[in-house]
Amino acid sequence: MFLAFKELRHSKVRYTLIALIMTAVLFLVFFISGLANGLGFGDSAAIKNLQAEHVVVNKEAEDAIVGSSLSDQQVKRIDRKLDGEFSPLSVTMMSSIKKTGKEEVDVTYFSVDTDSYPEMEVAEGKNISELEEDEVIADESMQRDGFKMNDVVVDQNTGKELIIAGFSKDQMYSNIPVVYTDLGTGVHESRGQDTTYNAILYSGSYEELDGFDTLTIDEAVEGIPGYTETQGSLKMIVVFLFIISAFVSSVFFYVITIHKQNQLGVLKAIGATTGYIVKSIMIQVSLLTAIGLVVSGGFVYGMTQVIPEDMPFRLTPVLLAGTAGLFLLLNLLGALLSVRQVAKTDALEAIGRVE
Amino acid sequence: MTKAILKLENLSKTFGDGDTTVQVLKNISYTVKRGEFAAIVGPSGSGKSTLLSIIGALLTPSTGKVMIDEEDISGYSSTQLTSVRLNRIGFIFQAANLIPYLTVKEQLLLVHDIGRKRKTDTRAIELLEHLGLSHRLKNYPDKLSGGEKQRVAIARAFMNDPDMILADEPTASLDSARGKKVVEMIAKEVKSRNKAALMVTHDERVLHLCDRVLYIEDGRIMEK
Repeated sequence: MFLAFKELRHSKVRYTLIALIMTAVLFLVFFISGLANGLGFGDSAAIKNLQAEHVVVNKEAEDAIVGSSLSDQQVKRIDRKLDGEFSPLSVTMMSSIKKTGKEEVDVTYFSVDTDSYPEMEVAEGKNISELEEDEVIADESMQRDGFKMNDVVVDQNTGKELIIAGFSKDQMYSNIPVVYTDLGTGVHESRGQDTTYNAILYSGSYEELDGFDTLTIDEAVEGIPGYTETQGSLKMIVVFLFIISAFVSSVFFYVITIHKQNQLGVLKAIGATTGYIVKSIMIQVSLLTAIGLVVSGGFVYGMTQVIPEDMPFRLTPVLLAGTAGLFLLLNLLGALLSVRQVAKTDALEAIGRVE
Repeated sequence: MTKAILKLENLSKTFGDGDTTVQVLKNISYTVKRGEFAAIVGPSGSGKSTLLSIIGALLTPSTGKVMIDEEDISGYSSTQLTSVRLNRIGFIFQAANLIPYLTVKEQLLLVHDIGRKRKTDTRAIELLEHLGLSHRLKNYPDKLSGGEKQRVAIARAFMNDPDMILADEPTASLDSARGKKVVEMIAKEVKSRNKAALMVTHDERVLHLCDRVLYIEDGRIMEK
């Protein structure tokens, strides 16, 4: 402790600079992690929060719910094989609704059988089973666009009048708010085709169905077109930032340790063990990383207060803590390079040499 | 006064370098008593530094015994040697070798921190006052003159209350007047605190301050 703090205090400029670099890199890590998380969330929240354990789609869909279509007959065939409750799901994209005197807002309809679909998490108003004819549950985010409880809205594709009877939590698909409605409302029949559904939702044991794919919710999320690609590239950026920052701090401490070789020899000659010196380096690494974490965390928090609310940025405490923990761990691992150098330093360095 | 602090018995050191081996120290036996200040002189390459390293628990001898206060350290492991250096030996190096980011007082407190002892200012201040450095307590080494740095190093060597002080050419980086002053101070501290001290030096002008002078040549020791 003694050595670590005295040195930090004495070489303020040097250590401030490295703390600044760490802060900047960490800020970027937090920002991109938050963005990846936010985009992923906006893309997939509605699928993640489906009230079911399994999703049945047809083979041709390649795991994408929107790419699947099931006819009435197929639904009946699947029904015979499944025990218990299930609900068909029809996803209607490229829809919009309008409230008198307001602008159109893009929405995606999730039409389910309100008699069999389980209750979901609502922020306000009615839940699934309480919906009456032409009543819908809209995503909470639509409140920002000026929609309120009991608003009458018009579906722009079919011209049907709908009533917002409740607001749900975290129901976004392709970064567009999801509106839950009963299949009976008919908003999914807009394109004039036969009654078709996208998928069957059910909970219970996994059933292998001939001619169909049974997905878990996680698989259905992965199957969202573009989801893995977006997440993959953002994750790659984050991984590289981690590696770069670990390298920068490792090399910094390594060079400083080599620079101090002579001093370390003296310390060892007067009785310091390798452990004593290593402890001092580890304290410095931890302290600088912690400072970087706190400052950049502060910046990120400040930034979330000023960015527009509909920007897809989402940094949960778990993600924040996980990122911070991993970052600290990587930096300490990198410090092992310096530890090796300390262990190699011989106390004999101190004897018989002029500075 | 008569008890031997340092006793060397038939000490030899051989360095192996592939097929050729060099015997640097040959069969050295010697004793230093409490309160005694001895000097070792000799041409470069004569084995002075190796001898000092072995007595200072930095190297182990190839054969023979090194007894510090009747404890044979010749077969010690590196961990045990570290503890011997920490608790029984005080080093004064060629260039003062102070830690650049510690103040004069902290240089001394560091010794207690390494030894996991409670850091007490009183001993550090007493030592520094004794060496005429009480006005320098809060200065960093880069603000000190060469003589002052070496005086801090002397104080540091005495900080852990060692049995023996080892000095490796303490006057090498000083002019003759300052060098003499520094050796006088080592002699004074050794006498007043009743320690044993051994100094390796080139500097003939300070030998009159020592109780005994040993000459080392080709790894053999003789007293004059």
